[in-house]
Amino acid sequence: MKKFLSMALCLALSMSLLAGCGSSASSSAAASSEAAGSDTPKTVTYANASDIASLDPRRGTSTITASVLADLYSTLVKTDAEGNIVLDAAASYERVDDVTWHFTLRDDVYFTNGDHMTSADVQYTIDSLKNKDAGYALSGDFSFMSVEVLGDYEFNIVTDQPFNSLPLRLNYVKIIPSKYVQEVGDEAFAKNPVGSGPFKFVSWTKDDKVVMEKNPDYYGEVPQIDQLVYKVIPEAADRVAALQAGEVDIICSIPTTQANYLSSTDGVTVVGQPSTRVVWLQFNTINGDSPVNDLKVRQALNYAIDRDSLITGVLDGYAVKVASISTPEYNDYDASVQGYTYDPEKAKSLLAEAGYADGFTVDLSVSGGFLNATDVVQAVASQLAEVGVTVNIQQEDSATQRDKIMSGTVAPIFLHGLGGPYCDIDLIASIGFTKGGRYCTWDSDEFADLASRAAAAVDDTERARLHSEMQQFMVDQAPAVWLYQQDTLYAYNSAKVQNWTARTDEVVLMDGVSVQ
Amino acid sequence: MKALWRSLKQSKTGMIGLAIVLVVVVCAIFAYQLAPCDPLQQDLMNKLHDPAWTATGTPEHLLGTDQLGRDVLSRLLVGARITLLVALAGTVVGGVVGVVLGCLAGYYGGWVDAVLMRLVDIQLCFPFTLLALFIAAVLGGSLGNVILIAGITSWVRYARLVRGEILSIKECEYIEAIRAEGGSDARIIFRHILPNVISSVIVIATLEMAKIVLMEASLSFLGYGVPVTIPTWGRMLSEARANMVSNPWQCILPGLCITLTVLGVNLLGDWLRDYLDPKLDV
Repeated sequence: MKKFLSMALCLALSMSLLAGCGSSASSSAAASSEAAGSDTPKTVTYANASDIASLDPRRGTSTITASVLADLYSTLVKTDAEGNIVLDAAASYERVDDVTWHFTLRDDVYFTNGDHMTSADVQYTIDSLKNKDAGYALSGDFSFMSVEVLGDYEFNIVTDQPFNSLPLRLNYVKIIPSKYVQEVGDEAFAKNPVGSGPFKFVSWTKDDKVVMEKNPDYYGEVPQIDQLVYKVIPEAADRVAALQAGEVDIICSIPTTQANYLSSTDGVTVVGQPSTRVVWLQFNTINGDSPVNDLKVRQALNYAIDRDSLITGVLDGYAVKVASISTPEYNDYDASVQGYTYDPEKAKSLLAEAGYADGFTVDLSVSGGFLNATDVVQAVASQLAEVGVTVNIQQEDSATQRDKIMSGTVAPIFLHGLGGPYCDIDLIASIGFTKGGRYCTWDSDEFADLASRAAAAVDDTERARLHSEMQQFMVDQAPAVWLYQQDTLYAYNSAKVQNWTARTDEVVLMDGVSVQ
Repeated sequence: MKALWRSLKQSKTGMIGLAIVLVVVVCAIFAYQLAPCDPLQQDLMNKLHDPAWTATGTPEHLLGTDQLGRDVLSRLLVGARITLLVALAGTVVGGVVGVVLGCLAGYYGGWVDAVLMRLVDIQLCFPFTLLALFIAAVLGGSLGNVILIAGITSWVRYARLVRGEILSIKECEYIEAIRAEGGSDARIIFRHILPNVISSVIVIATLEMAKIVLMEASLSFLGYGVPVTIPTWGRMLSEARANMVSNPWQCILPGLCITLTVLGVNLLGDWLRDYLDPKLDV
């Protein structure tokens, strides 16, 4: 009896394996458009891999959280799809002097509980955001600014030192209603958030979905859809299947290999949007004796990696090569800075000069998160093997790797990258490559000095010169193998969803979307 | 030996099990001779090919290529090697530890028995996968560690079984007789008691071996198994997961290998139990 049972089980298991693979190919995304009838509410559902961290914008650190919260809250200024700064709740702003920025608020901004947004709300938001005792994860990124209230709709933002990227940074600061938050407390606010964005909060089912409805009193353009749902679907293959079955309309973070497959499906449009996320192989030069402490070795490894073949072969073309720390989307990008070419011979001779003619063995740490990360490092390992460097790949979960990076004990080489809503060259330089920065694993006073002068430079030409000097310095000193800026990959049901644009900063916005 | 063969011939499922296991063993031993390509050789321009018999397949890669252009057939063959190595070594580690501790607990009784059996009870409280993941997270992923994990998670079953059997055997008159003649404890345990329990141990071992195959696959699937550069079936399955919709063969092939191997070992184990313990066949 037991024999038959186990056989039947095994059979059932293998059948379900086969069945699971066969069924999805037949369904078409177009089948779902019946949802948009005249009486049924117009709903757009989009899906990504993980749940939001919190509905309180001061606690949201991930780009996914930032996306959902951007639909619920407004900011003083925001960025458009190409990354240009445009006005949001602010009616105007100007830089008064090096450290003072004068803002005027719109007088028609209301929170969804009816409260009028005034300068006091902006002041409360920034004060509580940078309050270290509250333990907000990103407070350090905002601690240098403070608000001087001048009137109901007039205020100044003053920074500790000159800070050129202030508008970009403010694009992340979602204004919260001071009266309501103080009345109900942080905890109740996070459960029942009140914002002033294009959508109103309806419900959040943890690890499942966030439901929002349109805010009819929105001061900007009122959304054309009635309901917006953010759905959590951790597995990429499941997201693809959900799109094909018509359960969701837009999916984010799809593997590159699925992009080609999906683009041949009727009614599905695939978007590969170059993002502001730059990916590199960072060297840990501050953890004892390691070959990568030697500049010649770091340069050799830069020559040994064929980024073109990584991009075409592993990433299916969904990435753009970078020469250095910056991308064309960042301010003061210097296109004349030349990166390393692929030259394994040169790599070998540099290794020989450094005393590693026979190569060496080195650990390389990788965690998930970046596009095709495990495949990229395996291809890198095989390229480095060509010049005699044996790579041991260590797979770590993101939290472990992050802890090790922050304590400086991570492997000598690790795949890393930075991006998101307020990423620019100054941010990468300060948190990634300046001593004391949270992800910094090298020690260069020269670069720290350069970066701080560039961040504080008020004069445009002087700042551009310093920024391009930084880009060249990062090539010459090679604290990392600069790889590429990765695309953010989306696929959506284009038979239903209209007027949706992918953005460079990985944030998914739904305010202009309409459905057919 | 003849009786063994006759019994096997009578058991169809046993024969099937033996055939599957033999195929896997041959594949594993001659993996590098049978493999048409280097299993680690990447060919990024020729990635994600389906098997040769499908419309998009190429004759150079009988079972296709994976997401880095590596030959799937070669990876499956070398993967069999890792699977078998982990299964055998893990079973030996678990078996030896379990049998020795089980003997001590059963023969000496008293506080030795109490301590060891409470240890067994504690370990049985933890779900198998949780325990395996916990140890993997602490020790890190390497081939040796995976074998160690296989041993640590499986020794308790041997220990329990051996202890139970010894409890009854040690009261037998012939054991009493040896003791009266002045035989040492070690001699009694290893020369006179162990042969009586070894058949049960072999049965447990085959069942545990199937479990270890699955455990290795799960650990590799979750990214806690052997290093990424060593091809294993579980890792192949894990890496193919993202492309399940567009390239189903990438999942089906390693999945089938795991299923069939576990089935084969289980069938063989079932027959072995019937053969060694005719009482169960009522």
